[in-house]
Amino acid sequence: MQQYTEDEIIQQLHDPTLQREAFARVVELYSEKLYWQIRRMVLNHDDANDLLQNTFLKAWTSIDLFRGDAKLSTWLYKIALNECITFLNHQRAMNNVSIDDTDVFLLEQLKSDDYFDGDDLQVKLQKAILTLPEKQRIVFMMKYYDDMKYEQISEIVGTTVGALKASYHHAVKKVEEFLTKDI
Amino acid sequence: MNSEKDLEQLKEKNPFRVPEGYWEGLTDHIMEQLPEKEVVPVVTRKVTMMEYVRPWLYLAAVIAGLGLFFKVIAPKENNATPTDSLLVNEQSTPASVSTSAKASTNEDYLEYVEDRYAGYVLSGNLGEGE
Repeated sequence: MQQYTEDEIIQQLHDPTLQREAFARVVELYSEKLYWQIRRMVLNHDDANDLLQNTFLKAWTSIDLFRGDAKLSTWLYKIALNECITFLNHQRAMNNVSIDDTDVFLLEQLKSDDYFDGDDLQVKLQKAILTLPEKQRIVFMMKYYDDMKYEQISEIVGTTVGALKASYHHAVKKVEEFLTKDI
Repeated sequence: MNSEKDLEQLKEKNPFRVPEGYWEGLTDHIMEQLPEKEVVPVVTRKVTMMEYVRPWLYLAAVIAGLGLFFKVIAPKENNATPTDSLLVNEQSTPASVSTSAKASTNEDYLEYVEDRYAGYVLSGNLGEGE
């Protein structure tokens, strides 16, 4: 497949005759990164797969609104993140979990997931991450797993870089503390 | 347990898996789910010469109308000299003066004629009498 720059792809996305072909390139480029982003949030493969489909569907239907002010990846991460948050809110409502409680209920789903091979320490890490408040968890995952720049996280989450640094610092401390506990 | 070291080590291993061959068909599978977008054909209508010229014609007509107004109607209104205008007094004054002058001239003329020929008439009458 021919290599295109992001600007060229954006230009093609606004051309009705090339739009579908250009969007296939976008899917090819970002589907794997977005999948892992979503998977770490919702833990389960089937849910992650559904949310990935929804993310690209939303992106496709609103592609005409994308003007290229932000990076394409940032825009897609934003859509994916919103999909995850909506999904998790729905899951919390289904499991009668209040917004102040942790999302540890997801751990049960993780344990029953066929596509999870983690050992006890990995399960403990996932549990530690699930005890974090939602925003801290998002920042932690983007930084810890994807080593994303604070500037990009700031664009996705809509928080200042300073606040994000503080959030990540607190999140790391909490996770480390959790890992030292004997549970 | 060194939690900091653990955290770094845990990052190296991805405990999540995906079904076999998941990535191979993913793009095609996602693209299949996307609805076709209705391509709205862009209809470009040819602009006729009349449509192109019409606004300029309207503008020309307005300018011509204004020109006619100021050239023909406006000067007439000035000549009509409203009655409360100072011009009326200025213009009427010589007229009235000339009329009264005419009147006084007639009187003077008659007086002059009377004075001039009264002597002849009287002398004629007297001569006849002599």
